[in-house]
Amino acid sequence: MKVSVLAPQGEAEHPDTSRLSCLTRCFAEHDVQVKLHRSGETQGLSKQSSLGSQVAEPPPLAVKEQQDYVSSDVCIYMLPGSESWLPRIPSVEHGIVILDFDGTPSEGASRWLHHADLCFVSSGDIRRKLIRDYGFSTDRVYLISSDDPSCSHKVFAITERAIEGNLDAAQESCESEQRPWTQAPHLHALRVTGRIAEARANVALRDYVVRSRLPILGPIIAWVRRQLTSHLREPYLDRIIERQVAFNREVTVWMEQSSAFLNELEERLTRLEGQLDRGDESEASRVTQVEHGGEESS
Amino acid sequence: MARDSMRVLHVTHQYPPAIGGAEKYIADVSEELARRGHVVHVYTSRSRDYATWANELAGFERRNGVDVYRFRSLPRGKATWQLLHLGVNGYRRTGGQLYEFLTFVGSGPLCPGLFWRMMRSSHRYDIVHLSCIVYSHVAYGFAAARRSGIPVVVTPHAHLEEPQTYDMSYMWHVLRQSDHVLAQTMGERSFFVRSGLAPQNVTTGGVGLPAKEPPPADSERSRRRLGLSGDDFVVLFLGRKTRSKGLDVVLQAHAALKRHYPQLRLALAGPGTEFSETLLARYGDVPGVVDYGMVSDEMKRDLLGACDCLALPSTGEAFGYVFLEAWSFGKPVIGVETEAVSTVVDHGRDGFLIRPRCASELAESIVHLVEDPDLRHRMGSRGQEKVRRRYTISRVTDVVEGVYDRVLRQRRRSSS
Repeated sequence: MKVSVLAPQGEAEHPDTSRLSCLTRCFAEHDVQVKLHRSGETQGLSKQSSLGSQVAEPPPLAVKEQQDYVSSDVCIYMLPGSESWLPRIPSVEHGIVILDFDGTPSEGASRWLHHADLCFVSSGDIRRKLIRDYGFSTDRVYLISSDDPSCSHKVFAITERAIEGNLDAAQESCESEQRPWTQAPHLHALRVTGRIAEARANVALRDYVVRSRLPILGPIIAWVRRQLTSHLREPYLDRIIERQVAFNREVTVWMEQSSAFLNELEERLTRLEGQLDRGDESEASRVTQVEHGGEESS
Repeated sequence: MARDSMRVLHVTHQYPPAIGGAEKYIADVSEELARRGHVVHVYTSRSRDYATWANELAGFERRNGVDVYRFRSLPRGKATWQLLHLGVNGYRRTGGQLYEFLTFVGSGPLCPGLFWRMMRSSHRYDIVHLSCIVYSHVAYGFAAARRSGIPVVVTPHAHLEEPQTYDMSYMWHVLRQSDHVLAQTMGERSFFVRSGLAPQNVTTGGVGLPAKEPPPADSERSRRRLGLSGDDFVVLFLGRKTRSKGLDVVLQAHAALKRHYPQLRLALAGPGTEFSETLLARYGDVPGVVDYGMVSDEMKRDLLGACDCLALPSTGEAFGYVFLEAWSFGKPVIGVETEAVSTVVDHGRDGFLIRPRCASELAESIVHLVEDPDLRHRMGSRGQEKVRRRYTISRVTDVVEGVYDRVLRQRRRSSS
């Protein structure tokens, strides 16, 4: 695997040092060759000013560097600071393109965001912005904190899955990040069960067709079998199955509504408990005050 | 070898000047891609009316930088419609392949020339983008593109509440075998992922309005032109006047509220149908209903500028373009919590979502807006901001262009 990281100039003075080292470390630990490319024009700019900067012409690359970059298996763009490299994404031959955000994307860069296969973000706010404002799906945006000791392991695992074209497993974890169900894990479980049930509600095998593999007689046999069963299937079995599918769907909707209702109740309960606790505290302080007042007056 | 500019072939059932949401979507994206330097060709039918597939338009046209090639299609008459109904109903009942074939023939447009041209020249393009899966051109266009080995992207425009628009095994085959599916809403995407498509192969694209701001609507002047008074509270219904768009639900809600809120006016705009004629005759004695019929663009702008909110309790929306239009004028909207619309409208934030065909909830939402002008204003402003931020043609084309690039890279990756 060949990895190119496109990072802003000036590692020492740039605040992304730990993030850059997290990314490079994760590949180095797996003996993967990492090529670091630097963008020059943001040198000396603070992060705040580079956020508002427009995308300029990308800096020229040496022929060898260009070859390395376009033929990489993974290209990681560290943002903000590497916006000028984004217009080069279409020249990447086959590699997975990853955008790593340590700040919100600038308007000028927005055109290129959807060229990326994946995004790593350093905070929930950036993740929300990418999902809400740019329409990213949750399974393409991963929260990677460089303070997390397992960060490098996580980055490598996600990248490997992306290369294999299999990011399904990450989806559930992302949805859990989006909806914190910390107060009621059993409700989360119920909701997940509901979603699975919804997918399974459609029990009809619509793609099933009576077939026979015999070379010449096959179609005739299949036709006869279809005719022999059609008097049962069409007026009777199919209708029962359709009714069952409709019923299943109603039940899953009901389950979904119940879980939402339970969740609402759970939240109300937590709020009421909080109010009760605060009430107890104020009652206790009032009693203390009364007691103190009594002592003083006596 | 990767290159910056792509050669793209869009295959669609109809293209402007034909009217329709799917037609507008593909035209907007094609023109924006052409502006960005890509070579975009469109293969489509010569028709501007899907009810007949009549061959009315010229064979070739260069339209805003896009080369549009139009092909003759077999006309759709009464018998073809009957074939389609037989096919759809039979398929729903039995799932038989014969019924699928009848649906394929009945849907149209059947353009042998388009298929033949694709067989011969698809290989000249980097990517083929098929739009509107309910029509047959997607099936034979897909077959031709696959034969040439060209990556295929599909925008299904599926109405999730109407299974006949996507739920046939040949349509599923196209969706599953395509390189990428561009859903219109997050709800549609999540439906396709739940139905077994790989998450990384389904992206939410959405639709967008032109970046140019609509002219500032002078509400007072628009109201004068439309014969509405400044004190009226105007609820606008904008769309084809059918049952699936919820015209009867709006009328029910209006009739229930009119007694308590005499200032309420219901403005109806859009093509009429047999259903609407019967319905409007029944509600003839309810005061405050104004039917403007089919309206011009200018009158539509007046209506959007003059109204206080838009109510479209439609159960058959792939996206709901009209919500964007209302938001762009700073108006709150009321829609139905279908899978697609509920991911476009944020309930309580930029509009209200009601249960399908629930007139009482619609009435309740209208009352909220009548009684709280601040809420109305806040919701409208949030909607306006949402359109600016997310739903412009430029943003939508960013997504489409990004998807093409990802698909091409993925193809090169699997072949290397």
